[in-house]
Amino acid sequence: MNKSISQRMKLISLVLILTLFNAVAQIFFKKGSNYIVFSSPLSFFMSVFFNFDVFIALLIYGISSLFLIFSLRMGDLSFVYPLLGATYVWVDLIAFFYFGEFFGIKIFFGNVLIIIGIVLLGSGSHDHKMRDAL
Amino acid sequence: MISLFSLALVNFATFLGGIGSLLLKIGSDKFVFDLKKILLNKPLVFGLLIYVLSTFLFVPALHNANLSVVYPFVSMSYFWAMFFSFVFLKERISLRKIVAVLFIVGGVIIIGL
Repeated sequence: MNKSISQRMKLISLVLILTLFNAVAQIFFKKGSNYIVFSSPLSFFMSVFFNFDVFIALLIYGISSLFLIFSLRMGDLSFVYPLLGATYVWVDLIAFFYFGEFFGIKIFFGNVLIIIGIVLLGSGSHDHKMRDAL
Repeated sequence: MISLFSLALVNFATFLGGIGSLLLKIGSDKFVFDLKKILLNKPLVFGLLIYVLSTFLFVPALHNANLSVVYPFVSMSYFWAMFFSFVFLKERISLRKIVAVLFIVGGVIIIGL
């Protein structure tokens, strides 16, 4: 395989993994957010930091930020950032396959648009710089 | 009134998110597996802090807000990322990239509606 193509596939895979992490973190965050208190800044921060689900979410976000740094090292910001939109698709896939939530036609259509955008971006030829992660 | 406040906060958060990702990109070019060098990597450290701050701003911004009004503005983060990478990083923004991002932004807006 052509080197620049295999580098791009690596980068896209890395971003797809990190957006999956983001999606899982988001679900934990949402679960924990029911216990977040908004009455004062202090109680807000206390309720965020002493919350197990939010703690797990932050931990996963920490790992995914490391992956994000590697991704940004490999490719252009204008290439990597839009790919992060895959998070939305993962969230709805998890909601569907894991929680059995049926999403409506609107969310289905929105996800299809995002996937088209990602494929368009990912299949673009030589309009961005690439290099190895380390 | 709450919606107006949420709207301002969301726009501020996406702007910060754009700046955070720009700094992260600049810092990631100098990334090495060395804790001391990571902590001395100013764009990386500030980029991470700003990125985290922008994420936290979304929580009060989206709380109690009329989501269908506020949520489409979340996709402004894609605009800022493209804008900053063009202006400050001199990245090439091809027509294909623009069309791809419009699809993604459209999808995000529709999901949030």
